[in-house]
Amino acid sequence: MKSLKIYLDKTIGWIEKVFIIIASILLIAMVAIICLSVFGRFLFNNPFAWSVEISEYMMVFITFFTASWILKNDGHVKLEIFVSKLNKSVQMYALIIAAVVGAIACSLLAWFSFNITINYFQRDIVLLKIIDMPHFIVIAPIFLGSLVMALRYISILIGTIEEMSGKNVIELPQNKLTETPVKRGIK
Amino acid sequence: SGSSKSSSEEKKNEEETYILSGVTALPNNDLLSQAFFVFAEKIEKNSNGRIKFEYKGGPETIPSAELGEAVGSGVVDIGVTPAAYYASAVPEGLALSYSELTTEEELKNGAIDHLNKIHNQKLNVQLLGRGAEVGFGLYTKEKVQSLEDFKGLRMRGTPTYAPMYKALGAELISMPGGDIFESLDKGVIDGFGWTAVGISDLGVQDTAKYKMAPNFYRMDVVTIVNLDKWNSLPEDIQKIIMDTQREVEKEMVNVTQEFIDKEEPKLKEAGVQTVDLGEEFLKVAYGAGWKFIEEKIPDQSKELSELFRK
Amino acid sequence: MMEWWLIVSLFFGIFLILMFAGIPVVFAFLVTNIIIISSVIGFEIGLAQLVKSMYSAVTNFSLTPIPLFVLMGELLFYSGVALTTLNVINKLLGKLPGRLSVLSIASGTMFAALSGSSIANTSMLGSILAPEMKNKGYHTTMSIGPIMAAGSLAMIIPPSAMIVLMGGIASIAVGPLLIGGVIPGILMASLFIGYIIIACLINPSLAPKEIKEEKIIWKDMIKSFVFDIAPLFIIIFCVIGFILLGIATPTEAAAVGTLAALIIVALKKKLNYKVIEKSITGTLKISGMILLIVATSVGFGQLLSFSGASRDMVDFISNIGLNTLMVVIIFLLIVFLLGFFVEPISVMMITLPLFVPILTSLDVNLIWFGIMMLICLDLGNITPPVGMLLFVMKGVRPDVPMVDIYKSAIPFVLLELSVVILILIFPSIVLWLPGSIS
Ligand code: NA
Ligand code: NA
Repeated sequence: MKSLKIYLDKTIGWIEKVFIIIASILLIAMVAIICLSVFGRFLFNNPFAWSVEISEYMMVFITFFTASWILKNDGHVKLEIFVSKLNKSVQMYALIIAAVVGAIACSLLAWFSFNITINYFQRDIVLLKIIDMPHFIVIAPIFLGSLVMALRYISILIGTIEEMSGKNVIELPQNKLTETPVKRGIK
Repeated sequence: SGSSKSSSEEKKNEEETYILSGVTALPNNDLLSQAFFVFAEKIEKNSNGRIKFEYKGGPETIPSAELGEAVGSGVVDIGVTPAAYYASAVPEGLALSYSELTTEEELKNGAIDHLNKIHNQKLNVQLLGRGAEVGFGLYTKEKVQSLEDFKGLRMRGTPTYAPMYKALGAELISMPGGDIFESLDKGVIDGFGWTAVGISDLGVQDTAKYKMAPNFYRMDVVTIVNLDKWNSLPEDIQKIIMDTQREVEKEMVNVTQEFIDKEEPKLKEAGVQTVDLGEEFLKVAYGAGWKFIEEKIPDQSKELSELFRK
Repeated sequence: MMEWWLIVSLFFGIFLILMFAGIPVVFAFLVTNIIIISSVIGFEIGLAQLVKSMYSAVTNFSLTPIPLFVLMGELLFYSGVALTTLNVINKLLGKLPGRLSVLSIASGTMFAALSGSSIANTSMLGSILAPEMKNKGYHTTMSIGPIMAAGSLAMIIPPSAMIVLMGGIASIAVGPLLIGGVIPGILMASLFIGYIIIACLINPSLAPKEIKEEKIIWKDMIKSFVFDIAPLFIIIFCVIGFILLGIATPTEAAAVGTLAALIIVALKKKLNYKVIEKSITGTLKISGMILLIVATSVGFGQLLSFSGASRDMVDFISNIGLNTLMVVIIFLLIVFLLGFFVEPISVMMITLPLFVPILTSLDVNLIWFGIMMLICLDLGNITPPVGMLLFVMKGVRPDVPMVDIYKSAIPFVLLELSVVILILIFPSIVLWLPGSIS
């Protein structure tokens, strides 16, 4: 079980890293494309009318390629006020339930988005805008993102069970989203 | 015994009521949604209450771009939507926009029938027919005197307008509908394409001072029904629905006129002027539209052109 | 048919149970959607529809300013440009009671004109000011409260991703809506500052007396004004000015602002790999979280509407025969109450499509209503138990118990509510500026 988790974590971590690199590139590209479109329109007679639809497609990637990585860093906002009042072992059960529910929800999302991706591919559905974009390419990120999220939840589940059975003391995920990056004072 | 069974079935069918759920791609107060409500009212009367349309809502219920797929998969039974919104699944539906015929002519020459078969196949829906009788219009901030004046103008539009803008030498600018007011006011765009009625909903009549005439293309709003649902309906019910659809098509001419009458005073008050660009404009618009169909749907374009062009 | 209130309580019941069980908001939405869509539409086609509506929700050009505005703020923060500005403003404020609290509002107002994200602004101000204020002995009500209040201004003062989103959902013209937020935002900031100064005068133990008196050397001040404050005005110009001059649409202006921030950070020789990397990862974390909530909460709102509950509720309220003002007040109250539990973007997604048809039929000015609703939504960020800014502050000051963080927000919640009441009585607070510009 432990080696399975290490293997799982390694794989997911690697995928998450690739996803984040892609999302970062797309974020920069989005700034560049929209700016090009603005200045292109203003300075030259040179429209980048496709900047709107391309940015929209990029949003799917940015949303779903970051989801699992945010989950790993416990960055998805949640309400701990009630759970944190419970005693440690009940808290563990709550964590397990949360992970099971999350894993099931993400698996369902992955399965259905997989089917839609395949369906759009087979039906050859093309988004007829200024650029003809095969629909399956831009709906696939939902599948990929939720699949990795499901795996991440399974990993969290295994980790929580391991900690509960005392086999392996791991650190509970910290909220890194709001962590102060630099503690700089005022001169 | 066989005949007695079928007669009892028939009797049962006569008592059964059919409730069909429906969603419109545009908000319920939009002209392009009215076909649904006209239909709902007429169908209840024509079927003596056996068929009921249940309105689920507009785009707040199912996103406009997903309505075609949602009807196809059976999330909802009926959809009233521009065919352009599901053009990714049924690009042939674009022919409805670029059609040069009247609804009557389209029905007579089998154009709608042909399109229905494609809808059956590609989207799993039955195409009942058209839903609104209105064309498209171009609106500009500065006066346009001739087609030449479009060169270099920045026009907001959707992909439906793209081929025409290109042919006119105008630039296509894409932006959310909510940005039109601000962008026109501040000069990000010089004009935009919209339905021939309804610009007062955008609040732009004070800025968009010029409306091009004549109107061009035809609004491609259609009423579609989930195919499995359609096939499950007994023939007499199907017939009532189809007959009612024909009534709706005729009635929509009046409904559209009502919308135009309601808007006209607002445009007049704002001083919106009409600029007549003549037949030459239509020639460019339709030419560009059909060239687009040729490029996008090469295998179907010949047949569609025969069915939808004069 | 189920009664509308039964369906509504079922929706929120499931959602709240999941949330109180410690499941992240986004998954609470997702699971509620899955359960309800299976029963309302059917498991197979329902879930497929859910995925498609999630796709539709995020492929909305009106949402692109969210990551862009966050990126702009992150660049200014990680490069230290934001900190330099704080120092300059800090010097200017001199011996003011509760100097750093006032500073947080003043700089928060300024950053609000740069960034569209309350979360980004609060984490930016919080991480710079909160530790400093703790060291100097500020009471939590005078440190955490003002920072959250300052951060919340980002949503009201343009640019604001939230306003753009609102305009898109309700088809309200985005331009006038953005401009309409200016005066209420400034009014809020002034009330915050007034409250801080008065509170500190009445109860000096809230903030330490500033002992060290720094002499202002005007030559230095002019220099730092040119080099530290002026560049920020260029960024403000790029965002607001480009919209006003007709160079960019409101949606595009965020990208131009980001580019301007990048150039200024580069010109100040603060641009390096580390700054870029931290800004981008920070942006992806914040905007990824927000966008996923958008994706799932849009489905939540659509389902609420598909089930017929929202339509019935709307009919119910419009049939009571209330006058227009009462309807407006009830709607704002619904937003405020939902805001206790539900994240603002989701509240807006659920309620706005229901409100707009009624408000339109009552001839209510949507810009006036929109700004009041925006302030009520903004309050949701700082009202317990669910509030994004509360969570951000907990992250910045983990030593402060959550209850104290809740308490510190109360005065500012009341101040913001009073602004809503003022706007309710004097609509011109909102309508004057957009009206006078166009
Ligand atoms: Na702002
Ligand atoms: Na709240």
